[in-house]
Amino acid sequence: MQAVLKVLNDMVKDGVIQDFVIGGASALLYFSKPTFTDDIDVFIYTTTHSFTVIDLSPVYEYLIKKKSAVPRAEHILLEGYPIQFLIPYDTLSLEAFENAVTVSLQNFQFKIFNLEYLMAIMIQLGKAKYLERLRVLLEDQTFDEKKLLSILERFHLVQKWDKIKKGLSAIYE
Amino acid sequence: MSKHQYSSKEVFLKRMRRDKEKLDKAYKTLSFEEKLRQLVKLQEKAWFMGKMKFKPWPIK
Repeated sequence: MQAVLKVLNDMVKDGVIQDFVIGGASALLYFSKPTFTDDIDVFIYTTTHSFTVIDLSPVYEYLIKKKSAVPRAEHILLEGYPIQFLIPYDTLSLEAFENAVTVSLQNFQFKIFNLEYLMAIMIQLGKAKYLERLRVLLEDQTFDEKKLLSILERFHLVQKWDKIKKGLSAIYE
Repeated sequence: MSKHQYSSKEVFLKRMRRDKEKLDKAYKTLSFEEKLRQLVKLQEKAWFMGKMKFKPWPIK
């Protein structure tokens, strides 16, 4: 992981990307129990950022030429870690990107999505694997419920969250 | 068959809940690095079960 963080910091230094934030299960790991994942989601911000045109070729070219990375379908293998580069794709993910929190791992400081934003994204996407992660988070109660509700209200996700909670309690209680 | 015998279902459930609470508390005290190691262990299991697209992450 540290090797990946070093490369990502190099990318910022070399101007390939402006900033990066770790999302997905790797970010969730910081706040909760480990949940299974096989890749690291890295959200990046570039000067050519746009919601309509996404061009990751400068990122891939840099990694292949300078860091000996190997592309594999939607991933790129970097120092043995499968990385998926993503660009904030809507207003929720962009807000999550802007409100990311800084954490540290050994000598590296890096940003990860805030827990409440991670939850909001999982609620928005509603994939089956996210339901299990949400169940664990509901059980742990480590999140700030007021903060989560204010995000969900702004993005019209409160109803969906209530439905998910009802579904989870019906299964597990 | 488990070696442990429980006098009743209630005793069994009580112990299960107690163990789960202990485990939950233990997870809260783990550092990010330790949790990363646990994730790799999960990945190793998944790898041997053929459920991983990639090899487990290297620990470094």
